[in-house]
Amino acid sequence: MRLRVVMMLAVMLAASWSVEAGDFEVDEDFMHEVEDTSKSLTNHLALNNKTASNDDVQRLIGMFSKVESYYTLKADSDEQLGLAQKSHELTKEIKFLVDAGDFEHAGQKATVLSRTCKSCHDL
Amino acid sequence: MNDSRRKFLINAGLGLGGAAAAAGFIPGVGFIGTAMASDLVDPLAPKPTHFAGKVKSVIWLHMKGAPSSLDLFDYKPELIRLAGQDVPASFLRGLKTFTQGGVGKLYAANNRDWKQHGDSGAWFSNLLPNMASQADKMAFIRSSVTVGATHDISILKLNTGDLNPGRPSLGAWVNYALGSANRDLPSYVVLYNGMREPDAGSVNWSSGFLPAVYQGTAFRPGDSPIVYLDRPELRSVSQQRNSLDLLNQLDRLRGLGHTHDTELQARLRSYELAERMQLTAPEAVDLKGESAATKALYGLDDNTSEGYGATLLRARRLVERGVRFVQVVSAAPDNRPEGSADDWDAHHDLDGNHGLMSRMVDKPVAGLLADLESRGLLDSTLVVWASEFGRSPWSESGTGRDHNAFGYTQWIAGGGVKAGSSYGETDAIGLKVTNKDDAVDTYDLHATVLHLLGLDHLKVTYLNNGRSERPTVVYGRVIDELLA
Repeated sequence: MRLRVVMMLAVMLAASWSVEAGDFEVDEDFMHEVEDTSKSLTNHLALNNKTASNDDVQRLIGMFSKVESYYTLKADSDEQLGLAQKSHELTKEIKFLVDAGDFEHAGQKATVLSRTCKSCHDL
Repeated sequence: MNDSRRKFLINAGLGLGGAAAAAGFIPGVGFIGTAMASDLVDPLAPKPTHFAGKVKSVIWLHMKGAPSSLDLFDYKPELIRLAGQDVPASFLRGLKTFTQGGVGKLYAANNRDWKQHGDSGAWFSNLLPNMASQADKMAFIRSSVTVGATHDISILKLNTGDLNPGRPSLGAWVNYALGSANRDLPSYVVLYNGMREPDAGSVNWSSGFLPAVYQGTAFRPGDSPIVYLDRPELRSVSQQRNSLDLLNQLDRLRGLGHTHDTELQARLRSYELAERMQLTAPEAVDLKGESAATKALYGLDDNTSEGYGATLLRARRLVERGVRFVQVVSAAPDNRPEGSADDWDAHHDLDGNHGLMSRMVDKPVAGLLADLESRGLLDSTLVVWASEFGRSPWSESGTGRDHNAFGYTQWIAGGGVKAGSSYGETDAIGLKVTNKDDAVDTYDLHATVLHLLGLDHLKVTYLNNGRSERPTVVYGRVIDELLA
């Protein structure tokens, strides 16, 4: 009985997750949010502001994780998926560099990230 | 503010760099009045580069109206073969068409001959026979891209990196980052041929959110480059000197009440600069001392190229005198047929338009490159051929081409440039860049120009309303393949 309840709860959780995943759209509002956060990150990196840079990059890691999941499920989106994966990796590298206090290289990576975002907008 | 505090600020503040001081903000000390800041720090004082630059000056040739690369530099046999047919669907895949004329039949202009030139074997059409002779000096960017489909918006992006007014132009950033090399002339000058200022407007040489002292100064064509610059004959030199001294004192007294107004500070400095320029500016643009051979080299012996040639000859004279950034905007020749376009914008009659415009620029641009080289100035000068976008491989009206932001050609020549090289490519009909990783947007061109001047575009920063701004916004990639 207890096992059945746990199984049912698990199914309900999985169902609610898939509804959430299905509801998520890479729409214009979301892209603007990514772009604004990316600009904010560039600014904070230029000012060597570790706390604010970390906040921005942490948000971007979360956003690109969502984008990657979205395009993994979406058909005929190989190019978008590739760019999302590249962006996700770049944000993780920026996080590593920010943690190490290397703002110069983090800034260079952020420029590559902006360029990658722009490539995706063109698709 | 007493003397000892003033000395402290000078000692502590001067080393902090132009950005903070010009804005009036000294970290750890707080905000000080702009007038006081401008007293402490000369905003146009020469500043060090981030690393050894290859060039000292830039001549930025903006071909206004957007010439067709497909009729000048980009030989596309497949376009010629397919002319008159619909654009094959494979070329349009992934393309968001936003050009105003829609997609028409592919078009190849009449009477166009193509040949390779120089050791580099660069292709030129018969429209540019003189520029073709300078082929081995150029590095072609055959994968240029931009945003926008209207001239004014894309011109703004070409010059400032943004689609909306408010950001500084590239020349203003250079002025801000390097300061002046000649205090008797503006270090950022805008030249144009034709009778009136370029209609895209002064926003294209604006200093944006940078202090106004860094904006470009437009020189009119002719012997008197700046309106009302000449001293009236009835006033003696000493009378003028006394008047200006009095005016200066009154301005400074008044300025103390407007300490944050950089426009006012720039105006005060401009009075002083104007006085010095009364002697230097007319001399700098006076072509009387140039030899007949030099004038002929720039095409001053031809009615069609005379105006633009004189403009480029003036550009060389300004660079010779230490001007950092000369922005040259092309108009149409004065002798153009009535009713014809006033720039390169050939939506109709491309043959007629490009025949005339090519004749206007061909000799002068070739002459400029040859002249700079013969005077030993090409190694310290960067010449950029730029346009707001290119033109479509299809015809809009049967005789012209529409706008194309997806792939076109620009080139650079001069110090530090990999002369005779070519970077990137467009597809077989010249519609769009084949490899997106090779695409060179305006930010990348700006980053490369700054690099050749010895500036890291990521380190040229200015704090505006709490945000660290830079010339390349959040983008920019130095195109190493274009560098020697």
